[in-house]
Amino acid sequence: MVDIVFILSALLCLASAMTIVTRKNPVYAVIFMLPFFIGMAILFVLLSAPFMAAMQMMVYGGAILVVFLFVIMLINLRPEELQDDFNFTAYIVSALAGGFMGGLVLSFALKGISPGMASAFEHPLQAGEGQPAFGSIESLAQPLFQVHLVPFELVSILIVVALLGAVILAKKRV
Amino acid sequence: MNWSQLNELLPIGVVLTTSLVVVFLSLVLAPKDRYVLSLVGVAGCILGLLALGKNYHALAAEYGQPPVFFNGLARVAEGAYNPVLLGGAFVVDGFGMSIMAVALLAGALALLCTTPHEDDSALSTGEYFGLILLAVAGMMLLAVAHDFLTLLISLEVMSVATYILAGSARRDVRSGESALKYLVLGAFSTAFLMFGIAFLYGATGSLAMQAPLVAGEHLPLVKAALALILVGVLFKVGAVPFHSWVPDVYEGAPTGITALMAVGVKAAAFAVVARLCFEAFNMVKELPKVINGHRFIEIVYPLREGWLSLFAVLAILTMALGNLLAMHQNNVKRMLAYSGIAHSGYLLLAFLVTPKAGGAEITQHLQAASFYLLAYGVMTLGAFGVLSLMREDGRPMEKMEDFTGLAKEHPALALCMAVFMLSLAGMPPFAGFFAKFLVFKSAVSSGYAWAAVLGILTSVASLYYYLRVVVRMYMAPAGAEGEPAPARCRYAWTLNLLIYGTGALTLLLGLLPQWLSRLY
Repeated sequence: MVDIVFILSALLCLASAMTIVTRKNPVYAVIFMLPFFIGMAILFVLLSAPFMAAMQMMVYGGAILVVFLFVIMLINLRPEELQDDFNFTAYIVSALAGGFMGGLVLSFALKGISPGMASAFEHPLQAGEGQPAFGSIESLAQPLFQVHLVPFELVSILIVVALLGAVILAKKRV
Repeated sequence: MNWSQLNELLPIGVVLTTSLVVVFLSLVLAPKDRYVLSLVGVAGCILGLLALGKNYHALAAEYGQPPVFFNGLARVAEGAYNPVLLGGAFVVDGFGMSIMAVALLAGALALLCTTPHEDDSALSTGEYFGLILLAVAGMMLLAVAHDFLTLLISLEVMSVATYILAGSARRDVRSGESALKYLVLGAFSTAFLMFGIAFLYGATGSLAMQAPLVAGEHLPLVKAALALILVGVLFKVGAVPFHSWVPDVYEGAPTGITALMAVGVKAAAFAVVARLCFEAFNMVKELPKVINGHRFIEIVYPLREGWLSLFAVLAILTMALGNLLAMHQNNVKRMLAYSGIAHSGYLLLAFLVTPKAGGAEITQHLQAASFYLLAYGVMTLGAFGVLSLMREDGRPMEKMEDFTGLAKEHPALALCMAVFMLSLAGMPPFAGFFAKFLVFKSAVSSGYAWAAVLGILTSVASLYYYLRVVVRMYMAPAGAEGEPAPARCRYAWTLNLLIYGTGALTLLLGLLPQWLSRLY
């Protein structure tokens, strides 16, 4: 069952990632980031990192995607501007990146993973008695709201500063 | 948690509340009544100072002789005045309180420098005044921050507010340039600081100020972390390898904000330097002793040898370069910026404490540093105050020539300016002399006589450029080239009052330095 979910979400990630890079229209590319983020979130759930999954959806799917869309709409490119010229550097960079990734996969396939990694896979981080599990929301919340409560509250002052600063810098006339 | 502990942070709470009051008040006030906002802000600063005085008396009453500096190992009896607050996030000691007072003074001046006569109306909105108060709150938090996370966030509250304030004169191109340079370089330095803190957490698993001490500084990762943290802090101070932003940023920012940066930001950053020197970079020498029934370590431990020589070299370079570059400046604001760099160098001398030093010696060093910060703050604030009054047709007048014959037209202001200049140069009987005397004395007593001699030589050389202003004001006749002498100063009674006050304080601290030293 887990394997099926993993394969499906991995395929979803791969397919949408390929679609993102190959679209000519940036709006389509950004839209296809959404299935990619969903697939990533499922992968995080499978890795028993529910907090990362939630953040993946909220921060990336919610905020960053919208910011990308805003930027693209503000730039307001015409269709003829989207026809890119032959860019040699881009090909070299993608060849390098692909080669690196391929080499990594190949080395894992040929040599297998190191003993340390293997033991890490076999014995995932276990929660101690009365301790929240690594990667869980509790393990993040406890330091945030108990140990470092004061700095956490101070961040609210920082947000007020940013808010007032935005008003000062963006106000047209006073 | 003991909620009465929050009482120690009351001054910060007052300033934060005032900033919100100012912002909301600006929504109901008519534009012509906006000057009320700056007065409300100043009232908040004065209330903050009063709260600070009350806390100081509580501290003094608890310990008899008020302790200058607490470290994280301090242990206090149950129910007693506890300097270490909120699980070690803050420590409110005499040193932190003196930095808070300097920050409040700087905030009051920055608020008054932009009263209604300001032509750029963006500079008199509620948001602007609120942001000044928030920057002051950030400085006060930084003065007492006691773990690295609190330190980072307080530093960012202060820095982000000053980045925006530097660019708030939106009709002035230089203001935008100033803000951009400050933002880019400041963000870069914050990245260094954050890397340092992250490495430290990685090496020790703790964000407490004494983590490097507990973990042992011999770990290479801890050493790298401390060096990175030091870079981030010395940037804010304007010490020499990281000083290049200072002149452009100070020149472009509105004058009140420049004063806030030159005094408040510098004082708060030096508070961090002190906490790093005497807590993070130190080594255990004394065991807790019992005073008044409360067990605590009053004073901590000196720097290690390696850091010591690093500090000495940085101090020398900062003094020499700051004074040398200040000589060529024709813009008084820029000249004061370079002089600020030089003064950072003198201040660094106060942190040269040999490992052999005992608690009493370190107290003296810290007293020298905090006296220097207060004296430098008072005279620099006054000088920037005079500078912000000098305008013609709404344009600021910052050139050396603009001071020609000021003594004839505004004798009181010119007298104050002369006092500030002579005091900055370190002439007796003004505050600057005793500040330098104490710092050089502490450098000599820890065996850095050569550094003190170099400091004296550079401060003699600095007399050249400070006296240029005085000569312009008193000896060059106004309108010598046949032009009519302009009436060059705007008048704002609150700011004038503050300038006379700082002038009097400069004289008072010089004549009766023991008046302040009796405080701790």
